[in-house]
Amino acid sequence: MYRYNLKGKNAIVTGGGKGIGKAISLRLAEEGANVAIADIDLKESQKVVSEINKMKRKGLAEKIDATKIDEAYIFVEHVIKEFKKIDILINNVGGSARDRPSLFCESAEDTWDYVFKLNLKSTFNFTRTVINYMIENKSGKIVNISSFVGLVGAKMWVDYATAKAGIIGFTRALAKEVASYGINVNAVAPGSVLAGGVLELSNEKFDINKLGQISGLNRIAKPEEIASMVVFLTKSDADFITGQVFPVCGLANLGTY
Amino acid sequence: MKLKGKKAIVTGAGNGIGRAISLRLAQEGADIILFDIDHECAKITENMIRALGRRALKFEIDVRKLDEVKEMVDIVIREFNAIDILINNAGVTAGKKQTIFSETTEDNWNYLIDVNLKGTFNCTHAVINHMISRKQGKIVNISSTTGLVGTPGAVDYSATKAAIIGFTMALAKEVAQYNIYVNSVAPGNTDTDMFRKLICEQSKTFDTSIIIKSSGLNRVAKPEEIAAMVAFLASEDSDYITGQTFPVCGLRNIGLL
Repeated sequence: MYRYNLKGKNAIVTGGGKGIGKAISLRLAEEGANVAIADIDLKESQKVVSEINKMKRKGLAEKIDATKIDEAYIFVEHVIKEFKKIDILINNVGGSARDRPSLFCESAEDTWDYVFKLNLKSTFNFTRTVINYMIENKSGKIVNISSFVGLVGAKMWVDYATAKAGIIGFTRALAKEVASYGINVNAVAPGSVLAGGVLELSNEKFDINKLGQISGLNRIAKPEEIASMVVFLTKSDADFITGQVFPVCGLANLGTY
Repeated sequence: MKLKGKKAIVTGAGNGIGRAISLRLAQEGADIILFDIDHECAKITENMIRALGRRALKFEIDVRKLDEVKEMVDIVIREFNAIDILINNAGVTAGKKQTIFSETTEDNWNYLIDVNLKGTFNCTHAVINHMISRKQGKIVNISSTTGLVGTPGAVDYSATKAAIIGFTMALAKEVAQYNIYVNSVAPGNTDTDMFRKLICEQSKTFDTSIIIKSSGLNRVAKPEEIAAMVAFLASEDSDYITGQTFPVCGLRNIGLL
């Protein structure tokens, strides 16, 4: 009866082995999709593939450095060979400078380059590699993971804010180019999530409670709550949605009062 | 079936987007209370919902009348024990009298403010204390792309739809502490009777194909596509989303360049 699911669809999730990416991979599979994971951590990715297989969906995982376009290219070729078609691309790989955050006035050039490579170049790499397959099929759904920081900025995160805002510009311009091919391109801007960088941050550098408070919901997000927005945008329900950014961050993008 | 056991009030449920929302919420498991000024149309929606096996009850209401709204809401609370979801969808244009600002009338202005904005105020005010006492609730307001980017020939309509966005953000901030989520959806042009009548009327004076093209997707939205986003925002899937306005409008709000 549930007409809105992803049965028969094939999805690529970059960074799909952990955190938000893992939640997205699992939710896609729950809704019927087969999932291919490109992640630097093969062990974790394979655990996710096992869970996907238990749901009777096809899954595959490869150890991939998303900042290297050659690796993205080889991965996509393998996915085409295995799944024949790519319907969905989730550009989820990303992160902040983690152990190297600094005020802009004290920042290092190589940290800036690193944050851009990790968030923006990785998005370019996979989208560039997949897009022509989608154009040929005259169909596709691309969801890019930006951040509330890309919308409203954050102290100590000027590089991250810039890269995540860059993803928004990328999303809108690409959406316009490929609309006529039936390809939808959107972005989701999560708030602080109980995963990845936030989990790794020490309490001396960042107060997780404070991160929770700016959302107005007194907690940080569960990865599943980001995944539900992302997966909604991959369904035919969202065929009329493109070029948009969806904040999943409570009130964090609306100021502190 | 994300809304199993939930009770939803949908205003303007008799037709167009309101009917589509009512049906989608019912398909997801909710019982629906229909508010509409048009008794006949509401009856049809009511029958459609009952055919799905869900409970439906219509009330003939003019949302401009606060006393009437409060009286009906009290009956609903007694009848259904709980209101989980409120969809403020009732909205109008000035129909045949819709015209450019320099030629519009005070009557047009007052009528649109009364139904679109005051109607939203009335219905929300009538349920909010109930939701606060239960410490839960989902409110979804129907704004419009017009409220984001304006539409020539619809200055009054644009103003009311933009006002709904301000209402959404401020109320969301007030009631986040009670686990009440307030968001709005901004549809683009959608295939409804109201839209068709408007196009018919406007086609007498200019080439309305530019209106269809403005979505960048060579079509207007289906009411079901608006309903899908509303259903998402009414469900637990969106428990980290509040104060937001989500467009379902193709590229309309960002142009076609």
